[in-house]
Amino acid sequence: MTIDENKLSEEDLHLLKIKEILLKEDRAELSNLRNRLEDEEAFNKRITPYIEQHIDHLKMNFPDQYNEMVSKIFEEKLMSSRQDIIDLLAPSIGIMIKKFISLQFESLKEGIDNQVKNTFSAKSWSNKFKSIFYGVKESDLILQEMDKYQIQEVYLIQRHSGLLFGSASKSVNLDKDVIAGMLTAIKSFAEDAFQQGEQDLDMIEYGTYKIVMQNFKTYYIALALTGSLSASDKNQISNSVLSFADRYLGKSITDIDENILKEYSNYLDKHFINT
Amino acid sequence: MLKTEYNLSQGNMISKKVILTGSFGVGKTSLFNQFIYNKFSDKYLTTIGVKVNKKVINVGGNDLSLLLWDIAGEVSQDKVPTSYFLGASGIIYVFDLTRPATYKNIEKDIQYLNSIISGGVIKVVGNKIDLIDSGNKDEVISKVPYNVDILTSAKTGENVEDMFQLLGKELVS
Ligand SMILES: Nc1nc2c(ncn2[C@@H]2O[C@H](COP(=O)(O)OP(=O)(O)OP(=O)(O)O)[C@@H](O)[C@H]2O)c(=O)[nH]1
Ligand SMILES: [Mg+2]
Repeated sequence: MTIDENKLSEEDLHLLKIKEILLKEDRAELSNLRNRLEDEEAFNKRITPYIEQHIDHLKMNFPDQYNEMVSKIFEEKLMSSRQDIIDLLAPSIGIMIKKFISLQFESLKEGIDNQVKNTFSAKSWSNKFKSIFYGVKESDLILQEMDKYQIQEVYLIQRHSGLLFGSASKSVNLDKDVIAGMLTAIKSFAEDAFQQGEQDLDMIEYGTYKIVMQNFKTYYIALALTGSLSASDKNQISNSVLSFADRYLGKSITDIDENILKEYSNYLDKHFINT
Repeated sequence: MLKTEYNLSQGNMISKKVILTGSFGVGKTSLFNQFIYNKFSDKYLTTIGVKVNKKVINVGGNDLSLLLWDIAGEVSQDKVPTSYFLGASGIIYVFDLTRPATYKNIEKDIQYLNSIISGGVIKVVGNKIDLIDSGNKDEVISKVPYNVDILTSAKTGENVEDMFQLLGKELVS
């Protein structure tokens, strides 16, 4: 049998027509879809909400679903890189521990030295009585008192100029003007270099000394301390400084002369050193 | 107990903050050391940060305590931390007579310093005069685009004491 080409093609044409009629809507839909898929912006617009939703879901449920797996990975990583971590942390931890221990030893030694010096002081006798009456070991009492901070020196310094309004100390010190100036220079430098809003430098550690500073508008007060400082000690010092300022520093001082220096040095001595 | 060593005949000494500034290597530290310790060294050890020291001078029969801040030199004054200048009564601006680069910004620098310490005294000092032939002196000075207050040598000590006297007088007046 031979095929009638004309007929077939006519049939074909019919078929096409029918197809076109029947599939017209689907075709339009398809091209519409294709367009949407190819047009990146439109695609993003449609898909983004779903992704966001999914991310939100993940965020909410991440611990539940992945916790076990993540912690397992973490554990394995940690175990395998233990040495690396130790190497990384050891020096700084070591330094910290060393510093702490040597500090403790130093203060222990210093404290014992002082205690030995004061063996026959009134305080030590009162400890002896205390230990007799209350049954506390004398050494425990000594330990308790040993590391209490001590104010060695106190400076009242004009804020920006670094000029000394007054000072008092436990021992003789000739260079107070210069110390006040240098302290102010360090303070200015630090506050300038690490400028972060209105932050002030409020503590410097130097050897066994701690220099605690409290700023006021036109002056600051610096205390050089030995011994250890707890948070409650800091608070106590701060209160003492505030009460000093409240009591003696009401008027503003512009010119600094010897009379001012004597007057304020006296106040400082009375308030902080020979209380 | 009354302190008996208190000397009543002494005047009432006042304290003032003074800054030594200028470009690097001009001789600020050398002037400071010459003035305070009567010492000079040819070695150049650049100042890092600030060094503070004190010297009491006598001005018109009264003692004046100068707290001197010797700071690190900067090519331009606006690079110096402003806080160093706060509360200063006087500024000594030093330049090196042998290095024009150290005085080419002088006008701008002084203007800037004046804006920072309004009312303070600023002295302009040409240092290392010992290195200038006496015949060339006028020519060198004519090149400085600002009025120079005094010429000094930290090396020989020439005019060093006088420079601080000059400043001191204006600080108490
Ligand atoms: N011949 C001569 N040399 C000087 C004089 N003053 C300073 N010098 C030398 O110049 C060099 C720099 O002096 P310094 O006093 O350190 O300079 P400076 O201004 O403090 O420098 P910075 O601290 O870096 O800002 C040193 O080698 C000094 O010996 C002077 O009057 N005459
Ligand atoms: Mg220097």
